[in-house]
Amino acid sequence: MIEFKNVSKIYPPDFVGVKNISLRIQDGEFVSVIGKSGSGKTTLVKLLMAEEPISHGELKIGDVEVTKIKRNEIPSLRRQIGAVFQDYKLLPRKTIFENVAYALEVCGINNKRIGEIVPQVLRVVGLEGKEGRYPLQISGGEQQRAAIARALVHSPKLLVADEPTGNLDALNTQEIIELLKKINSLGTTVLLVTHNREVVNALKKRVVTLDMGMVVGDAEHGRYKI
Amino acid sequence: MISNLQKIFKFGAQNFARNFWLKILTIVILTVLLLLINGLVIINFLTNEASRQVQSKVDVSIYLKTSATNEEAQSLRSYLMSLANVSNVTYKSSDDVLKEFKETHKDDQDILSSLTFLETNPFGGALVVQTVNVNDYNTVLKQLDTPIYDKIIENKDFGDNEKLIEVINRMTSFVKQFIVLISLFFALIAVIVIFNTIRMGIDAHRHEISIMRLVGAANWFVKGQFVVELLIYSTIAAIASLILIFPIISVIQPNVLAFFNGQAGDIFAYYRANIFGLFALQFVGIFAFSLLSAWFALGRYLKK
Ligand SMILES: Nc1ncnc2c1ncn2[C@@H]1O[C@H](COP(=O)(O)OP(=O)(O)OP(=O)(O)O)[C@@H](O)[C@H]1O
Ligand SMILES: [Mg+2]
Repeated sequence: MIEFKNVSKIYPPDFVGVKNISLRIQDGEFVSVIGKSGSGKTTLVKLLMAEEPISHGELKIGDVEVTKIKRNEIPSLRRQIGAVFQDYKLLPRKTIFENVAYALEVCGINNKRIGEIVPQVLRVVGLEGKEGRYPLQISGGEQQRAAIARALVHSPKLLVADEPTGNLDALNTQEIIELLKKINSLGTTVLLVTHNREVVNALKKRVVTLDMGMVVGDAEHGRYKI
Repeated sequence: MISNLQKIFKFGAQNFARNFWLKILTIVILTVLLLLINGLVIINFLTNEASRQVQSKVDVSIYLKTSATNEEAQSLRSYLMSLANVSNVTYKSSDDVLKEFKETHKDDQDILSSLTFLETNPFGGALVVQTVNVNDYNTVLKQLDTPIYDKIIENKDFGDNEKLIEVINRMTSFVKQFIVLISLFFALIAVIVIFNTIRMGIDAHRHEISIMRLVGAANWFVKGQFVVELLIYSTIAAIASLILIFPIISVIQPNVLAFFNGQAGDIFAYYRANIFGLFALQFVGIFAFSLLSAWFALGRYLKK
């Protein structure tokens, strides 16, 4: 379970990222987060990843108190989360295969297992044949799919995706959303940040709406409405 | 654990290979620094060698009276040999001394003809003493200032040696101070250059470092990759400087020989004899410095 209790994030000197967020997300839920640009969606993701310190409040992921986490405990928290970043964050000097494999390498998985899993996941996101290329040698949509593959490859308990379909066409978007739904049905909690009206409406799942850093809507079977 | 080490080596080598030209620049800088340090090693070797060679030429001759018996000469020799600061004592018979005297004065007919007037050899035997250290001569000579030895010693000839020793001592201590100063200066420059070179290299990777961390790499995993890269740098720089130093020596050696009238130390032989020690020293030195710099530079990017 993920629990935000009155969480605020103030970027220095006094820029509000999120304000007074209280949210509970049960294990196995599929939650979409929507909101205008600058409403605090990415900030929420950064707090979950312990990428930014929390200014006020408490955040718990499972039994990890993110608010009180020690620096050397952060990597193991991140290894339990699969994250798709808004700007992909692929390693420029590693091939697509190596980028996806990296999420397994940091967990100490052996090369044999990596050789088995990575091609499967690359096939699932439609990147077979491109595994030897570097990020700059593939399209934006392909980079996005590589980022998704990296987030999935280690079968995380929680998948956090910040605009994972922002650069994909309708068909690809549909495929990726189906993939997220499938992963969710296998037990992974999914937190999907999106601007895509069709996606949210077709999902018929819980929708959390942010505005100016605050939760202004939280509905089961929600629809896209800002 | 083993497999993590393997991964760290794999990634370190990969990072090195995929940034080859940037890394080459770093290696060139490190190699040039090492060559400068080698210059100091060579200067140090040459001065030590020069002073050792000059010192080995210094000796004191103790001329014995003609009345001194062979036994007395041998017992004096044993006594001198027993002194800790005496390295060698050779005995010259009176015939040898005469021969040498004739040799030194072979152009002086007056002296030579006056010798022929004498029916017997006017010289006694002599003991030629060499000490471990040039400064020991005075101590040794003072120890012979006793009535027992006065009976058999005609003359203690220290010749011009005293002045020579003083010059050697002054030269050596001057050069030593000079080397220490220059070394400190170079060390300072080296530390600054290495620090900045390594830091620039790491700054260039700060984006990648943050991604690695976000994907869940532990700090030691990220640091380990850089340590492997530094190992590669240090090995290549140390090897390159040792390879490049030989052509440099071949240019220096004849000039040095000419300067010292053919009496200079053999730099080649010195390097050949100490190649492993010199390599290890340079490798460890450059690796330790760059490791320290990397630790400082990386710290800033490993906080979040
Ligand atoms: N590093 C930062 N320093 C200062 N302010 C920041 C920083 N990052 C975000 N903010 C501010 O925090 C607020 C929330 O930003 P956030 O990135 O979470 O928005 P978002 O909902 O993800 O927007 P978008 O849909 O455009 O990605 C914004 O007002 C933004 O200006
Ligand atoms: Mg955002």
